[in-house]
Amino acid sequence: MRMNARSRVLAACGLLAVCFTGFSWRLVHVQVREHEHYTQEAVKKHSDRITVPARRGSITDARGELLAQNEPINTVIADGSLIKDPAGLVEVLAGPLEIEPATLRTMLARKAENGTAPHCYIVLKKRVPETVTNELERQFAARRLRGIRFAPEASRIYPNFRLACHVIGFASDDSTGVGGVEQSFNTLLAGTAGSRIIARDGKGRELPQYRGYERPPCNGHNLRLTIDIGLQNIVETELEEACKRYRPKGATIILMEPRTGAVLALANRPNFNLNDLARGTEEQRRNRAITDLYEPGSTFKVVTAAAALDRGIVSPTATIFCENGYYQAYRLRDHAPYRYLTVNDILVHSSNIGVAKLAIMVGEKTFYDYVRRFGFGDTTGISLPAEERGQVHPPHTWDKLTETRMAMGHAVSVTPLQVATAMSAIANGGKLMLPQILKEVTDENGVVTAGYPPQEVRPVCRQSVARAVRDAMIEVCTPKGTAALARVFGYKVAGKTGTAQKPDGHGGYLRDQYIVSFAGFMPAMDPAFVAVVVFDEPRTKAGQYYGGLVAAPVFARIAEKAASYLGLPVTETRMQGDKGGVFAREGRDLSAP
Amino acid sequence: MAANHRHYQNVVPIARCIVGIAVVVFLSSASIFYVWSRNQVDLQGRQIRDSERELVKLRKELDVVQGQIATRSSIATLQQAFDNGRFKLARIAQFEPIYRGLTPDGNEVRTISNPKRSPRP
Repeated sequence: MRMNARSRVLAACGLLAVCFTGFSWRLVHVQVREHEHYTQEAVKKHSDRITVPARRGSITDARGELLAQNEPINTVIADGSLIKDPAGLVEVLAGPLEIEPATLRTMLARKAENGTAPHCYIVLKKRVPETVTNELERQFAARRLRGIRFAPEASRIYPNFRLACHVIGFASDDSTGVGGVEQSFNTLLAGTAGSRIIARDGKGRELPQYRGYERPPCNGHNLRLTIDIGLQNIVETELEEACKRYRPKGATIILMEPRTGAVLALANRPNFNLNDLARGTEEQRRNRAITDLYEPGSTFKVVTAAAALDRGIVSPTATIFCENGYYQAYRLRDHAPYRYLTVNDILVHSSNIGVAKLAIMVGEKTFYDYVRRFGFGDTTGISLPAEERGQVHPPHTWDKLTETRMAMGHAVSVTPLQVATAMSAIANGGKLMLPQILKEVTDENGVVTAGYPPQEVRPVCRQSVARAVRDAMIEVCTPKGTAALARVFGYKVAGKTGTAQKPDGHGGYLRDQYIVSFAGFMPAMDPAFVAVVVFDEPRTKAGQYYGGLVAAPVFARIAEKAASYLGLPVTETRMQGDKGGVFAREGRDLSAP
Repeated sequence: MAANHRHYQNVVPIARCIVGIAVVVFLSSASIFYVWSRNQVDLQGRQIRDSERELVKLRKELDVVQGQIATRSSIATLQQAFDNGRFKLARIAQFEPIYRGLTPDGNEVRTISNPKRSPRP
C-alpha cells in the first residue's frame, strides 16, 4: 500500500510530536523533578569548601623573649609525568636539598603502581625552609624546568635550641603540641581553622570573585610563660658544667619564686634540641622534674620538723636524745654519735634518729596528714603534661619502721617539683602555692585575654613555724651544717641537703647508687627564689657522693649568678657562719700583709 | 482615496524606527555593559588573587625574618658565640672581687655575687 503525500506528512509530524514530547518530558524531569539533585551535582563540580588554617600562637618568656614561633616550610614534591629534563632537575635540586645526585635520580625515576607510568607524587624532602624553595623556584623559572611543586606547611622554630626544651615541648608535623606547654595549651595555641566556599573554573583554579560564605580563622593565642630565659640560661650553663664533672644518669634543677609559685627556670639532663627532633630520644624528652620519682632523703626532714613544730609538740630549742648514734629499737644510725640535739641541730646535723623521734612524737596519722598537706602524694597542678603524683602510702599500710624511715625521706617517693613547692611553702611563711608556668595569654593583637595570678593551695603550717624551720636551714648552710658549700657571699642562704640510696625494687637499697639533692632559697629572709638541685647517680670520688658536696656547690653558683642577674641587694658583709673575712681582687696574694 | 492610501504607505515610519533603534541601542549597550561588568569582575578576581598571593608571600617572608632575628639574637646563640670567642671579650669574672673567710674551709674563695653593689661597711 502506498501512502499519499498527506499521510506521509501526518506520519512525520506525528513522529516529531512523539520525539518532542519525549524531549519535553525529559526536560521537565531534569528541570523540575530532578532539579535539586542536578543543582547539587553542579555545585559539587564547580564549588568547594576549603579550610583556611589558623596560625599557631607564639610562646615567649616572662620578659617577652621569643621561645617558639612559626616558620614557613615546604615539602618538595615531584610529579614524574611532568618531568622532561630529569638531569637538569637533579643538578638544581641535589645541592639545596642535600640529597645525593644518584639517590635523587632514582627517586625521580620512580614508577607508579602499575609499573609503567611515571609516579605523580614523589616526596623528595620534607621541612625545606622557605628561603631554599624561593631560590629553587627562581632557578626552575630561569631554566624552564617543570615537574616540581612545593606544598606549604607551617613549622615551629625554637630560637633557643635546647634551652627550656622540657618546658616548651614541641609541635609535631601536623601542628599538634607534644610535651611541655605546646601540649598543655595546644587548644589555645592552635586556634580554630576557618572555612570558605569557593568557585572553581574549568581547570580547577579558584575564582575569588565568586566566593561564597566565609568563616575567618581564629588564630592561636600567644603564651607568656613565667620562665625567665636569662635565669634559664644560668641554670642550664651550671647544670651542663656539673654534668660534665659528675656525669650523672639524670639531673634536674628547678628555680621557683616562692611568693607566687612561678617557675623561673626548669632544666633537666639529658635534654634535646627542639629544632632537631629526629635525634631526640624518649629518654631525652622526659621532663624529669615532674615525671621522675625519687626518695628525697634528708631534704624531707624539713617536713618532719615543721610537722612537730606546728603541732606544738616541741620548740626549736627543745632537746632530743639521739641515742649516741644508734637507735636499737628502730635499727637507725646517724653518721656521728650525737647525744642531745635541739630540734634546730637535728636539721643542722641531719640526724636520722632525731627526726625519727620527732615523727614518732607527732604520731602516724598526723605525720601522714602533714606530708599530704605539703603536697606530697598528689600532683602539684602545674600546667605541664604527664605529672606524677609520687607515692605516700597511707598509715594503715605502714609497718613498725615506716614512720621513722619516712621522717628522713625514705619510704616515700616525690618529684623534684613537689620538693620545690614544699620548700617554697617554708620560704614564703607557710603557704603552699600552685606552681605556675603560664603568666598570661594574649590574642594575636597582643591584648591580654587571660591572666594567671598567684594561687594559694592551702596553708601548711604557721608562719612562726616556717620561720623557725628557715632559721634552722640557714644554720645548715654554715660550716657547722651539712651545706657549707651552698653559701653565697653577700647573702643569707637557707637550705637542706639530701643523699639517698636508690631502692633496688625488692625492698632494699642499691650500694653505691645515690640520688643527691639540695633544696634551698635565697636571700633567706626575703627569698627571691627557691632552687632544687637533684643528681641521679653522680660519679664522684669515693665518699664524696653527698648532697652537700655535689648539689650544694651547684646551688651556690646558680644563686650567685641569679642574684647578680636579678639585682638583689647585698645584705651580708661576711660569709654565712664566719666571724669575718677579707676582700681582694682575684690574682692578688691574699696572705700578704 | 486609493492615491491617498498609496501616499501614506510610502511614508517612512519614523516613530517605529526610533523605537527599533532605541531597543537595539538598549540591548547592545546592555550587552556591552554586561560583558564589561563581567570583565571587571574577572579583573577584580585576578587582583584579589594576586594581592592574596603577595600577602601570603609577605607574611611568609615576615615569619622567616622574624625567625632569623629571634634565632640570631637568642640567648643560646649569643652564649655559643661568646663561648667560641667570637665577641673577643674578656670574661668579667677575672676582674670580680673575691672573698676569703677567716677560717679557710674547702672551696672558700669565691667571687662576690653582685659586684655592682658594694656590701655595707
